Amino acid sequence: MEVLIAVIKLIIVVVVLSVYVMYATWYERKVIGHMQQRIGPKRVGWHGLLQPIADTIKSFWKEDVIPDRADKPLFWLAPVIAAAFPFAAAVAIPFAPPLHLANGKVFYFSVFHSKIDILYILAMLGLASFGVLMAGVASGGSKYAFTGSQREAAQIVSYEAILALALLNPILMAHSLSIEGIVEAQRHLWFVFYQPFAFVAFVIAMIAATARVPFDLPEAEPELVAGHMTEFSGLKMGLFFFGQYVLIFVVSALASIVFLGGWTGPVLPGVVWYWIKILAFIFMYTWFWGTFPRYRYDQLMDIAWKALLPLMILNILWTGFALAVGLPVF
Amino acid sequence: MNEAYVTKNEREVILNVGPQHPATHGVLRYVVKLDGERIVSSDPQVGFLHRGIEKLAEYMTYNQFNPYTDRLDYLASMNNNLAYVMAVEKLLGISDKIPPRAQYIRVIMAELGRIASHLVWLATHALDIGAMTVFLYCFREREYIIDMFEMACGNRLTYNYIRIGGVARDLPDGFLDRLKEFTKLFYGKVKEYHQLLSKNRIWLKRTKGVGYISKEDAINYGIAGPCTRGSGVDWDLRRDMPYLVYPELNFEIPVYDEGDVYARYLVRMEEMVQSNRILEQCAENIPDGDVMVDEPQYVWEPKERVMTHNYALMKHFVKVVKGFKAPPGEVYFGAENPKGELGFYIYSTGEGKPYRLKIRAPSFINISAMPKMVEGGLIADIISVIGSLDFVFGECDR
Repeated sequence: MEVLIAVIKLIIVVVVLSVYVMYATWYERKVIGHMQQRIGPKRVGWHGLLQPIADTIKSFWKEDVIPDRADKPLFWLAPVIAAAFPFAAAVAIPFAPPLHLANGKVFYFSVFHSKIDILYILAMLGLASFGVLMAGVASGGSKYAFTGSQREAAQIVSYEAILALALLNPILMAHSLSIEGIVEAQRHLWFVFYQPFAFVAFVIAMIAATARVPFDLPEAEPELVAGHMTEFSGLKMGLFFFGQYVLIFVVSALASIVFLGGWTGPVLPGVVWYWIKILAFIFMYTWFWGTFPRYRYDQLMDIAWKALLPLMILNILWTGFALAVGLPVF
Repeated sequence: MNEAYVTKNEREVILNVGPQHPATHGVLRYVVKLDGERIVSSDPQVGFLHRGIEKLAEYMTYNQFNPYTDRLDYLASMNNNLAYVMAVEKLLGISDKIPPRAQYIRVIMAELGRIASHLVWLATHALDIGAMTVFLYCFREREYIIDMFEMACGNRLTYNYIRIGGVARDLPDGFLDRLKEFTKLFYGKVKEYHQLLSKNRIWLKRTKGVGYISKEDAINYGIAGPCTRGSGVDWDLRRDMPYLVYPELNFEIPVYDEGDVYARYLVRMEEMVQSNRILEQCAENIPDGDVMVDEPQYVWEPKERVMTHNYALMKHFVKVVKGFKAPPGEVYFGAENPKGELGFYIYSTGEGKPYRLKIRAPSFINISAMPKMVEGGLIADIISVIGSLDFVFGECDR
């Protein structure tokens, strides 16, 4: 029974996320369109609602070009990895607050839950960028792809530490690594008010983790054509985008759970609060896209190593100190 | 990385940026030698858009060549027309006889062209650095200008409006009202761009201290226009070698001393405002009168006269087929174009066609300074520098 429920949940997650990705592209195009005084997709379906479906069908029928010099197995594996690990991370993200059933059991709206959800998600996020690295190496001497991957490597070492350190503060305060425990600890006040610096650092790191503006260095279009994806076409390229959008969902959900109290909030029901927060983060991505220019990759490393890392270490020291002596604010 | 691409015992990789590349503004092939992402040396290669325009000029009458100048810097066709036409007029010795209304119209068109060209520069510069929204905002304002050009001459990209002896026809009704409307509106728009970029930390980081060129180097390379004014060279042909009615107009020449991408950015942003000021004054002061000089041997007669008078038709036929006879001699005229000094050198042997016509293309000369600017930078700096030099390949390759 348990297994059956898990399998059904898994199928639902994959379907929901696939549809989500398609409509996330539509949403983004609409939002940025209106920011730029355009109207965005309008022709296919009502307000362009069928546009993502048309795009998906198109990417299925695109010719799949594999360069002669490419490392074939890796070339196949790279997009699969780039899409698979964000999905692996997403299975631990709940779609709604857990339901307390009448028979005393708890129904979770995530495929699995454990005491170390956060750790698991972080591990999967780390592995997701592996596909990007692989793509550059597998592209068979394409310099743009290689430089893109090189940048991704520099980006991983920059943001990964920040991402974990920023999460450490709320974890210390909640005494828990599980999503439920962290949300429970914010019943009265969200962690963003205790830990504003950690929140800002996390937002910066999560944008870097998903490689979006202003940190979209691995695929910086005017510089590297399409970066690590230069040699990929058709469905393979689609898979990279797929992975990226799922990743955006995962980190947005993570940010809203850890810093904005997940499904806690006044008046409105929990699930509404939860999705409002996630969508706000996704909107933030689009907003940044429409507003910011792009950093240079050495500048990203400067920000991460010279500014955010010392700040985060101080923050952790302060949090630990405050918890140890029991300052009233906590 | 494939073994064949990395030279033995060397860390350097040679990267071909372009000619098909999203940020090379046309067909620049930029060969860069890289150590990691750092640029060791670089070499711009041009000529992919070479059409032999200078040679074509030798087989054409002066009037026939005018539309070809549209195809040089296709973002500022009006300014190209102006520079060429002024050079021919200098050769013919009729520069002083151009009616004032025509002169004002020329200034209006040139300054509108300057704003339109700078808008495209800002749009692509910002897009290359990643600020996508500025791109569309700039094209929104450019649309106003293009619409005005369409009112005046019927075309939206290649105008052929400024003719030898004046302009093709008078401004249509309502043009000046639209111009006034535009000038009033444009200050706010420039403020909008400033808000998005000028104080933006990321923008500053990407442009400040990047692509530095000293005052001496800027002069030695011969680069002109906004690029040198960003390096502290106070030189603008509109003021220093005045032509048309510029001496009567009140405007400032922005000069910044930093010599980096940001300084060149500020120069062009300020130039747009100054051009707008010029337009305001022109819209106020424009006199009535003819728009064509009264020199029957150089200028085509009105169409009605050609269609009704036998002798006029014959003269028209000769002028179209053989061109007017320009006095022998050589002449150079340089005009301040959005990209820099666009000069036309014409050598005439007294025929209806120029013996030799040489174009001093600012884009070409600006590109020559690129290796100096990007040396020691990163790949991303190439993009900033390309944006700040603002070249158009129609003009560079000719």
